[in-house]
Amino acid sequence: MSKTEKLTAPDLQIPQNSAIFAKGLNFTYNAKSNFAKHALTNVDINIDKGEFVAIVGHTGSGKTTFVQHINALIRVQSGYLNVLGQDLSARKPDLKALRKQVGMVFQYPEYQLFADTVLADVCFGLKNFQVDKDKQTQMAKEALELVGLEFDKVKEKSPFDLSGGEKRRVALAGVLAMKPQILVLDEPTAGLDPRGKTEILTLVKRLNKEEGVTVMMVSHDMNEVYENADRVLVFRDGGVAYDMPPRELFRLEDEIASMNLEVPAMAAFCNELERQGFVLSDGCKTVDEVLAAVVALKEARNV
Amino acid sequence: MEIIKLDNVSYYYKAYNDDGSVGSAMGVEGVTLSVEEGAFVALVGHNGCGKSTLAKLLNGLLIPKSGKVTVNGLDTADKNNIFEIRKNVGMVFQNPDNQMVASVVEEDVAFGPENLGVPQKEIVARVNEALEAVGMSEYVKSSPHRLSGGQKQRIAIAGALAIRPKVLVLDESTAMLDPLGRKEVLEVAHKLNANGMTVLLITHFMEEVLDCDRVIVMNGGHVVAAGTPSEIFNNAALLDEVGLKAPRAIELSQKLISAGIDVAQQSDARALGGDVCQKLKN
Repeated sequence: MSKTEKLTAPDLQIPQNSAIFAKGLNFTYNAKSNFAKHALTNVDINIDKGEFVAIVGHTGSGKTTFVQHINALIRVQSGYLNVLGQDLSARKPDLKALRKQVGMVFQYPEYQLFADTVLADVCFGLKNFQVDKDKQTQMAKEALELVGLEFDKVKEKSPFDLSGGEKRRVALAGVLAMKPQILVLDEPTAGLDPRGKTEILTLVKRLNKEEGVTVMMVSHDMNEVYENADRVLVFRDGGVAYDMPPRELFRLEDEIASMNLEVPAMAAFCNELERQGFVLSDGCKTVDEVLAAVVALKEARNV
Repeated sequence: MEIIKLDNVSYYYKAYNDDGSVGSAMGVEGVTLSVEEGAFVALVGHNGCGKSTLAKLLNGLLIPKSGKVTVNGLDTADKNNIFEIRKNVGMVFQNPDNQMVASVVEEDVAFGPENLGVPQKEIVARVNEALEAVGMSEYVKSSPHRLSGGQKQRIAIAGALAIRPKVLVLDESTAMLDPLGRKEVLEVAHKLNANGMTVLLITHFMEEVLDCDRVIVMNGGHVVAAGTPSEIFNNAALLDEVGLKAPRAIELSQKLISAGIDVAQQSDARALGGDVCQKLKN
């Protein structure tokens, strides 16, 4: 691994409230072989504590590679990365502390369930972090209740006897049990039915708003990005092409189309109204919010 | 003509109780429905409602515990019919990576006809025809694992087409794909349908349901409703009960109408915006 330039924290002026700070981050897969593939090019990102950031972009745009840097599943090749005050470009960062603070929920996390009982599965992470046995059960109980499962009902069940949505919530509980400060979710709602999707998103949003957990969510569903994220990062060809609040981003209809992404339905609706001179507040994102705004507009004009 | 017919079909899975005794879990119960040849039918419902059980009953992967499934007039419960039925019903499942059996695309597509004992010359013709139909001809010598998810699913569809089925069942085949991949697969499905293929699309994406001829809604192992997409999406009580949601633009247009703003019910959010502007200007 070659580090072309060594940057250190004092030179970089990391914002005080920063959760994730990347500067000039580069990554190449199979760097020394004929199959070398450039995945990240000079990525600069700062994410503050408590933000809800969505990451979108095409398959192969570098979003997963970036996300895997956050808990050092992929080590920094060149550039600088600081997560919760820890310099991950250092030679030996404290990975154990980092992984306790950064919870990763991969795609289809229910495929990773393995234990005989739900309780054992949720406790696995805690056990590895040497939490006391009594405390493990307590923390697992809290996590399972957080994801909306009744502890006494599910604790002795095999995770494989649960429905798809329940399995995913158990997998999520296994991550939440460690009380991470940053939660990284890679397509958390893929493959779920509409009700299951709503349940997961409501939970993630609550963790963000009430517990102050910093959320990074990779998603292909622009409607869900639009309704939940405070800020959207669009990855393209290994770099960040756009970084802005969702309402602003989805006004750029031509750019969105050229990247083969979809404009969320409610954004398309509001854009059309704006083109014809009717401006709704940027806060109108869900169907009901848009409805209320249109009705108010109509009433104001009738008076 | 009815290509698929289910008459009061029930299926129960074997399940072990907590004490180790063998019990049963309901897959589907009392399902009666039929699909016309050449139709494009969507099957929706939340996770665990019996959609996939129903799909597996259609080509004899599962045999009903009671009732009767007939495909093209053949009873799936009759063992002598199984080969003929599987020639008639091609299935594509959710995970593209689980459905590749060979290391070269053309061999993967040839897998079905080879098993049916189709002569070599005809296999080549069928493979080429199937790849052409899904727009993947240029990848004939490629290795499947280097393709995108949408491309892999199109190869899986080509594999099903190579047995020349009358019915194509897509069991959540778009669930794991990115938006571009989903679009590719749906375009192929609609193109095949336009050429006479009966398509049964199982999906969670309500946007995909809009272009279908008919929607079948399942809940708790039962068929609870069937109708055109607009009939289904107009039935808010039903959608709520089964945990589904109309696409956002339709939901908004319905709610605008209830609020006294007289717009047409539609799925295109931009057109709806135009309509609303008209109403606001008047």
